[in-house]
Amino acid sequence: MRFPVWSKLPARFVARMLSSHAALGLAASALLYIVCVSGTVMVFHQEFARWEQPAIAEFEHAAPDAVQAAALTALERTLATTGEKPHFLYLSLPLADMPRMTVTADDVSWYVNAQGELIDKVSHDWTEFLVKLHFYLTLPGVWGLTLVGIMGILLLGLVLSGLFAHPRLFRDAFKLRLGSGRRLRETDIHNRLSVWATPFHLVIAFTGAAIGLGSVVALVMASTFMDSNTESFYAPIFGAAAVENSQPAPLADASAALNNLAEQYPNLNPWYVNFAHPATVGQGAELLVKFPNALLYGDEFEFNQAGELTHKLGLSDGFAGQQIVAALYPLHFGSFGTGVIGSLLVKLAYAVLGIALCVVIVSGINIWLLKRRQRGHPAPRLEAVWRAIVWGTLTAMAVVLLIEALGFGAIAGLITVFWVVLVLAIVLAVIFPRWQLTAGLQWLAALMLLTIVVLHFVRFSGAYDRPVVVSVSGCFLLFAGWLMWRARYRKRVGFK
Amino acid sequence: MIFIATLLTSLGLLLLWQAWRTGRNKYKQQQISYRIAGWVTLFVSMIPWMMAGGNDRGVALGITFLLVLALAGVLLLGWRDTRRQRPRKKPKPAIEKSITARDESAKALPLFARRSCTFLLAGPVAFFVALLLGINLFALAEYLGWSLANQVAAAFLFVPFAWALLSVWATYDTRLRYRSSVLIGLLLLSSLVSVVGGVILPGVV
Repeated sequence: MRFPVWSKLPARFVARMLSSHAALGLAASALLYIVCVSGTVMVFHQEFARWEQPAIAEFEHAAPDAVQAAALTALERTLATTGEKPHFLYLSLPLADMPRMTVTADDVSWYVNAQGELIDKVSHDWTEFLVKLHFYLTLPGVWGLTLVGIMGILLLGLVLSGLFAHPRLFRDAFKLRLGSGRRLRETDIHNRLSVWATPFHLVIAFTGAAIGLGSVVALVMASTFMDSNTESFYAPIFGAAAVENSQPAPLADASAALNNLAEQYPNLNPWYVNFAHPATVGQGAELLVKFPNALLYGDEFEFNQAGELTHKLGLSDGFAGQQIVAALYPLHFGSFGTGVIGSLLVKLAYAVLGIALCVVIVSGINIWLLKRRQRGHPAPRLEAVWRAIVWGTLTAMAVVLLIEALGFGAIAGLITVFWVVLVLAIVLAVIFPRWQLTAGLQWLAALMLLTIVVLHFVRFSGAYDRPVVVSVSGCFLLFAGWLMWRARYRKRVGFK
Repeated sequence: MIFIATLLTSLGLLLLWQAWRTGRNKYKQQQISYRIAGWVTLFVSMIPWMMAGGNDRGVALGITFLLVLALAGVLLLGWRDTRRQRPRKKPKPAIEKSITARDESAKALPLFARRSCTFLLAGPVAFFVALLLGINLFALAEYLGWSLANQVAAAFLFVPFAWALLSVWATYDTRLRYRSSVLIGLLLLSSLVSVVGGVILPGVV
């Protein structure tokens, strides 16, 4: 395949673009890798949440009365515990790919059974840790989100500069010389995986950057155009927040709203019921609804005290800007599959493409290190540090999972453990660059994964009739097996 | 419908692969035919994807399927390559450059300064330029009578894209003076446009 314009890019331009590509890659490398690894694992966050608390009741349809009963119980329970009504109350309704119902009042969440009774507190610290790592790189709020957004910018820059730095893009489209020397092999892996997955990389980088930088953009735009009212900046897209009036009032009737929705829009699936300032005169109540065969994450229907649907936000059929922004989230998270099989297939595809992205990042830095070595400037410590980051991240994640499986799952502690393990691996690599640290980290991660599965089975053996529990544990076992095979193989062929 | 869609996408990819193979054997005319047929089939395959999964979602599903299939195909070709016995070239000996300590220390400071400048250009400067351009875009969209939702979406989507492009320019391997002047020129120009356009920027510039 040849594409004349592309293959005739001037050599000087290509070389300069390659230099830009290398500079951006080096700037992003470690943090971008951590964001991508955590993002790839996070594709299955719902499955992990189900695996962490496997004994919770599962059902695919919630009766409207049960939803209203759960909302009222959560409201009463919060009032009894804290002495005041929660500011926010929302219910996540069961769907085919997440057949569980939860209710959240401010910071506390409970699982709900089909009768609307609150049965157990939601406690999936591993999944929460993944969210903190991928969304915020474990930094607080806007700072973390912005840093991850900057990683998205760097990735976007890498994709764009990478395309222009590769004049043989089409000519080499199917060339993958895995049987060649190391540099050629790494280069081919880097180029082929990145070229074929370019649309995915562009989408992930662009949507990630937009979501991550959303707060900063809103801050600047609002200070310029909207009298510094940051909250009102996104109101034309996501709707305005309810005006607070704390005079008591009955909780808006979600049960009637769900019945009305089923009557007026029988093809739509309700997904969330949200209350802002619940059981007050100023309460806002809305249903977030999934649209089958649409890319957007959903649309919101406001409802009044009596449960009558009063207003549709318009994410599904409103302005183009609304529809585009509503599509960013499913595109980034791979959540546009429908049904059990459909959503699983899309998640698996995203996982494959996510792994490919991680491999592209690793091979990119490997190429740079190999070039350095071939030019007579080897950096053994830097090479060891990079290997420690690559395998140390996975090992640190396994350590976190093990600690959570042992029942010591406070999120702040898990975050500390993750960084301590990773920094320790890096320090060891700096001090002892000749150690076989990679194989050690792989063995460690594999053994921990095996222990985790054994512990989980002992603790929740009754739940091993559920496919999701067996699948997640099975994936951990497969991954542990691959790590052990890799550690052994590398030792046998004498890679250093 | 999904079956037809997957079949057509696979066929399109197969035709592109065939185009690549014939291209290697120098059959130019055949290659062009295969290439055109491949791209056309891929585009046509999006129709059944759209019919099966909705307009926007169907295209997303189709492209996701294509990417995974292409990766699988390329990895299969790579795996076949590992089984092929190929005479290995002797690796070139590493070129030992004799860089003295004096050379290193003499280079170190300007190099650090140059890299710091590049960092500032690709980071804060490019970000401010992207923000200013975003503000101008927002104001222009308002002037053109766009709805507020479209204005917000345009600015929200434009800023990250502009920052990424500008960061590529900031790290492009040409004279630092040239890169800086383009970015600072853009910064001044967009500030001027903002002020002339009647947009006041408290706390931004």
